[in-house]
Amino acid sequence: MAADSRDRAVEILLVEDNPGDVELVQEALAEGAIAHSLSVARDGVEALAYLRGEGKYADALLPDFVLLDLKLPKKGGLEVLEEMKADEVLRRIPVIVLSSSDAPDDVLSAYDLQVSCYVTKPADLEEFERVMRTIRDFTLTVVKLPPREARSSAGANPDGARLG
Amino acid sequence: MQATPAFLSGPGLPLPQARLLLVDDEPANLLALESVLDGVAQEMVRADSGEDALRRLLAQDFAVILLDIRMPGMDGFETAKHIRRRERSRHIPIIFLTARAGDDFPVREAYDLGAVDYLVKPLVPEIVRAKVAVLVELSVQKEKARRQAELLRLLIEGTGDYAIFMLDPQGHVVTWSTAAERIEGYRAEEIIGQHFSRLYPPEAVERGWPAEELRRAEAVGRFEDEGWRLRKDGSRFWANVVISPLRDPAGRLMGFSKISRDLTERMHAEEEVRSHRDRLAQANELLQAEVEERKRAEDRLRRTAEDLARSNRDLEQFAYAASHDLQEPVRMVSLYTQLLQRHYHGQLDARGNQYIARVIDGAGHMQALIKGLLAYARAGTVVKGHEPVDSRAAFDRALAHLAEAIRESQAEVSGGDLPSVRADGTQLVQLFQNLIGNAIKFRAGQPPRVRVEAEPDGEFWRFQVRDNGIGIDERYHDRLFVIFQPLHDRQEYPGTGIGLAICKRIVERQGGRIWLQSAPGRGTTVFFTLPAVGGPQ
Repeated sequence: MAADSRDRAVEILLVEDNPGDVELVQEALAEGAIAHSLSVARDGVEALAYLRGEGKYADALLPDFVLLDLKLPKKGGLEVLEEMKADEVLRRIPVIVLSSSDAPDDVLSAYDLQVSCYVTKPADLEEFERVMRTIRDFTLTVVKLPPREARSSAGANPDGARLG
Repeated sequence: MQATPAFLSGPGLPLPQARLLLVDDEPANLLALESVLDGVAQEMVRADSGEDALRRLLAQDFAVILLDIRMPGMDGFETAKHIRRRERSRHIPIIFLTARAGDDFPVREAYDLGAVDYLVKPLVPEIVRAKVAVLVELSVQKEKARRQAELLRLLIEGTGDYAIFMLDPQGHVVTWSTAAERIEGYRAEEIIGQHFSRLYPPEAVERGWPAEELRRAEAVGRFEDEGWRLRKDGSRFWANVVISPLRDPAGRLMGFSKISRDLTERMHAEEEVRSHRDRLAQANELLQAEVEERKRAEDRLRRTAEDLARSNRDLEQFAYAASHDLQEPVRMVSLYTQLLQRHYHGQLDARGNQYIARVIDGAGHMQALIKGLLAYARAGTVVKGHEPVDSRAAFDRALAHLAEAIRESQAEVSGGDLPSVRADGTQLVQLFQNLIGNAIKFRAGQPPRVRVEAEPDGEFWRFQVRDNGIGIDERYHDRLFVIFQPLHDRQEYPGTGIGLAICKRIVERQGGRIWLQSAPGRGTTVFFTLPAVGGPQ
C-alpha cells in the first residue's frame, strides 16, 4: 500500500558538494514547520549509491524528491540524472536541479533528462532565501508527490515503504 | 671560261649554230665550195682574202675554217698564224685548200699552224663534205659540252649555301666552287690537290673520320653526316655533308662528290630554341617550386589558423569553465557576508559594518564580471550561418527584458521596419538589449529617446540604434568595444565594461561590423551590420 508522503516526514536527498550551500539549504528548510528529513550526498557517485541503497546506504529510505547540484565531484549532476532516468523506480522521483549555472546548455540538458524544474542559485541572500522557501513550500505543501515504492521493481513490494 | 648567258635565257638549250668560214680569192672556188657544203652547216661566210677572213673572225665564231693557201697579199699560212695568235679563234679547226699535191705540200708547217687537215684541188665533193661534216659535228659537240659544263658550273656556283666539290679516289680535292670558297675559306688554288681531311677538326682527323666517310660512301653509295668542320681560319662550322662515290660506266671508282652545307646558323637557332626551352623548363620548375612553396605556406597558414581557432576555442572553453567555477565561491562570499551582516550587524562598530558593505559590493561586482565573461565566452561559441531570424521579434523581446529600466527612466524606445537577418536569435536579443540598455543607462538629463532602424547595405542590413544620451568623446570610441574597459566610474554608472565587447563579438561572429558615431552632448548612434537573408552564409 503506497503511503502518501504527508503521512510522515518527507525524505529529501540533497546532492551538493559545497558545505556553504548545504548549510544554507538546511537553514532555509528548517525555517518551515513541516517535518522532513534531509540527507546529503557529497558527489554523484555517493548520490547514486544512496539512491540504490548500496553499501552503507542499505538502510536509507528512497527520497521523496532530490535537490541536485550539477557541478559535482566524481560524477556530474547530469550523469546522475541520466542514470536515475534509466532506472524504473528512480525515474519517478522528482528532481529539482539547483545550480549556479544559468548556461542555456545546462538548462536544456537538464530538461532533456526530465528534471522537474531547474533553479539557479541566487547570489543575493534574500533572493536565495526566497527561492529556497519557494521550493520548500512548493514541494512540501503544494505538490502531490508520487507514492513511495520499493527500489527493486515497481509494485513487487507494495508495502515497501522501508527499503532493504 | 666566260659566261654566255644567252643560252640560259631560253626555256630549253638550243643547239649551237655551226658556221663555216670559206676563204679563197677565186669567187668561182667559193661558189663551188658553197654548193658542195650545202646543208653541212647552218651558215657559210665567204672571205676573199686573208685580211677579210681575219675581219670576219673578229665578228663571229666559226666551227671550221676552210682556208686557201695561195692567195694574193696575205697567204693562207700567214692568215693561219694570225688566227692561231688570237685567243678567240685559236681552237677553230682549219682545213687548208691546196693545189699542190703529194710531197709538194708542206705538211709539217701546215700542222704546226694548227691545220687539222688539208684538201688538194681539184676537190672531190664527197671527201670535202665528209671531212667538214666531221669537224662541224665535233665543233657542235664541243660547244654543247662547253655549254653544259658552264651550266653545271653556274648551277654549282649558284647554289650558294652548298659547297660542292669533287675528290679523287684517295680524297684529294679535284674541283672547288665559289660557294665552297665562301663556306670553307680556301681559294681553289689553295685547296685543289690537298687532301680533304684538311677541312676536318684535328680530333676528327685523329680518329680517321675523313677516310671512314669515304669508305662508307664507297661501300653504301651515299654517306651523310653532320658535324663540326674546320675553316681555313681555324673557326668551326656545323656542316651537313653528303658524300657520293662517282663511278664510270664500268663501275670503276673515279672519285667522290662532296656537298657540304653550313648549318651553324640553323644549329645556333636550334640551340637558341633549346636554350629557350631549357630556360622555359627552368622557369617552369621555379614556378612549380614556388607553387609548392606557396602551397606549403598555405598549409602552414591553415595549420596556424586551425591552431589559432583551436586555441581560441580552448580559451573560450577555459574562460567559460573558469568563470563558471568562479561563480560558486563568489556566490558563497556574497551570501555569507550578507549573513554576517544580518546576524552580527549590531555587534560590529561602524567601521566593521563598512568593511562588510565593501566585501558585499566587491563580491557583487566580481559576480557581474564573471557573468559578463561567461556571456562573452558564450557569444564566441555560437556558429555562423543561421536560419533567418526576425529582428523585430528580437527587438520586442529585448524591450520586454528591459521593461523595468524603460519604465523607471520613462524612456521612449521605438523601432522602424526591422528585417529578417541571419543571426542567432538569442544573441540578437542580447545585442538589442545591450545597446538599448546602454542608451537608457547613459541618458542625459531628459527622458531617453531610443530609435532602432535598419536599411539594406549590399548583402547586409545596416542597423542603427540612436539615442539622445550623454554621448562619448571620440577619443574613447576604440576603447568601448574592448572587454573590461568601462569608461565611467562605477559609482556614477555601474557596469563591467563588457556589454559592447559582447555586442562586437556577436556581430563579428556573423560576419558583420559594429561602430559608432557620437560626441559629448550630441547623443550616440551605434551602427552594426548583419547578413541579409540570402546574403553571405
